Amino acid sequence: MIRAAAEPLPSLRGTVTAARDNAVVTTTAARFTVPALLGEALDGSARPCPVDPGELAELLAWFRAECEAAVARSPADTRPLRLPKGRVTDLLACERGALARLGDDAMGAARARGRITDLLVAQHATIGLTPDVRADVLDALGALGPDGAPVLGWLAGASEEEAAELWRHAEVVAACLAEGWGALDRAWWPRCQERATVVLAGGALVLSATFDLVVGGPPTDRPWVVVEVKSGQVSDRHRTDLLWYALVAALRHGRAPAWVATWTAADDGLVPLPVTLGTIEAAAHRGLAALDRLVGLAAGRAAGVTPHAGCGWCPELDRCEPGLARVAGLVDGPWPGDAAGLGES
Amino acid sequence: MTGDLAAGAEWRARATALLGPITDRLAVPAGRKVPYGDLVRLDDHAVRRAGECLAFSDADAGEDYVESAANARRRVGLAVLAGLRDRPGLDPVTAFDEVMADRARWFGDRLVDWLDGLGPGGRGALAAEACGYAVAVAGWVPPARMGDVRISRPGDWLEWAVPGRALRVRGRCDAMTPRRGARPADRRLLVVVGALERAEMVAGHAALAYTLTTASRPQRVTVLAPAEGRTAFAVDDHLLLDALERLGAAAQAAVAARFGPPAPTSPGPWCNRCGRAEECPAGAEWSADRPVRFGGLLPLR
Repeated sequence: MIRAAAEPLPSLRGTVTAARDNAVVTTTAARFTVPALLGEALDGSARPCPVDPGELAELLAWFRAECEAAVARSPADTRPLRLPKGRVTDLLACERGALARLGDDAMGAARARGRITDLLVAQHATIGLTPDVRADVLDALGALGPDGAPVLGWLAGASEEEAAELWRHAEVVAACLAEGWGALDRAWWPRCQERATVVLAGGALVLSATFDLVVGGPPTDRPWVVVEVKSGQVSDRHRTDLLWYALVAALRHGRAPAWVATWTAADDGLVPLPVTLGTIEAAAHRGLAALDRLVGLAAGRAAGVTPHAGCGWCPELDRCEPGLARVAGLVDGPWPGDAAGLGES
Repeated sequence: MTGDLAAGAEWRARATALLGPITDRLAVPAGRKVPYGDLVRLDDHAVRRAGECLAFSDADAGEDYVESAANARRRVGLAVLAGLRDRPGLDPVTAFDEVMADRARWFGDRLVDWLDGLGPGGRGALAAEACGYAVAVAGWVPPARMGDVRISRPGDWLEWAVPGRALRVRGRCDAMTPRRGARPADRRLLVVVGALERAEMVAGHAALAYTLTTASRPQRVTVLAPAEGRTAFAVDDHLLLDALERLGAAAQAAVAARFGPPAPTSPGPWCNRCGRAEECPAGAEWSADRPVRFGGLLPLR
């Protein structure tokens, strides 16, 4: 059985200055940019340790068996249990916070920023952006029909300041894409918002992820790179999300991506993670830790409270004394996703 | 008549024998043309709904159909796929550009009107959807065999008219292989769906619709859910018989919905998305006993 610890995670970060006011972006470290990552992935220099297919199959079989055993402890009427990426992070950060976020799908400024960031990346990766970013975004939202309506509805009710902030963000994203990414080579077959679902334990457990941008991989003969797009600024804690992408991608396709990376739109930052067997095993352990909590809560166990750095955004904050104390700076706590001690070194 | 064709003709006879008595209220005199709006079409959606609840099989919750990037994904994606097949080495985005430039040749008026109204942002959103679909389907066969795939045109249906009835059995397949020069019975079908949860039902309905339409049954049906994977079914008597049985239930539900009396209800998880939940005591009772869970969890309040 494979039990090696996760590979050391090098601290890589693009140093980028995003001048928000005039939307001019200067890249000062070209090494950690999307085109540099793709170029190095293509020529093989950025793939230090290919994943052995046999070892990967063994690891995935072990993970499936562990999931099946864990789900067997859940009451039948609570199935199927679902673990999308966000729920893994939420459960490991704070159980009570995870329950508070269930069903909270109201559109707000942060979600609107995320949605239009995804749309701008999709347009950039396919047909290219135009100088009129606002027109591009509104046109894309209109083309999405019911899927675009929540953002349009939020915009209609937003204050002038909120709307202006959104459009400033859109300009920054477009500038970062133009200057930081440049034109993506179409031969990489870029795909956006690719959903991946893995059904385990005879349908009793569903793991899922949405890959914001995928290039190469099957059915091309190029290395497979998955890029997660975030609307905010670069942070090392994004690595924990990348672990989940690596695991779900490997389970879905039976092979591992060469790289998974987070690109942050507000500062053109890139956190790349080479996928090794250790990466996927770390992701599997983290997923099982989240699943253990999910099974316990589904069975009726009382939710635990863990103050952490994300308490300030928790919908339950006003009713949570430990969270309020954490926000007031009285208690230290981990970043979301670190609670199991498996996410980051 | 070859063995294949004889078998196909036999399935037509079986379907006629089953559906005829159930749908006698849909009888039409020989030679009379039935107005388009009066036709009942039993597609895989109708079959699925009838399998859940006979009473409200026509009661989808949701809004009227509108064109959108998601709704156009399959139609435009199939055209992109044809470009990838016909020009090895072409990439999906360039294939998409070429389809858009030639859209009047590919699509019907309604979609063309919608495409004409898109600006660059809308085209980008559609390109993302259509290219994702095409790449997922392209993985069905190895690239070297891509040239042997027959890709459905938008609006292509497998459709068989039940003799003497205002009734059509309608199925769809997204692609089939071999492309040409093969007997219908040598064909393998591909159907693309959102999830594999009901893959056997989808495969059975596609196989039955193909068999009734061509009077010859296909060899295999593969059901592909791009997010999830794919599963293949050999087309045998068992698969077709199950599909025919479900078709009979769907016909019964359609007749009850149009002429009454109401068919019996069968409450279940589908009640949560039923457009007529408010008028169904059985559904309300079922839902009241079961709190809504999110992936197994109950929200705090």
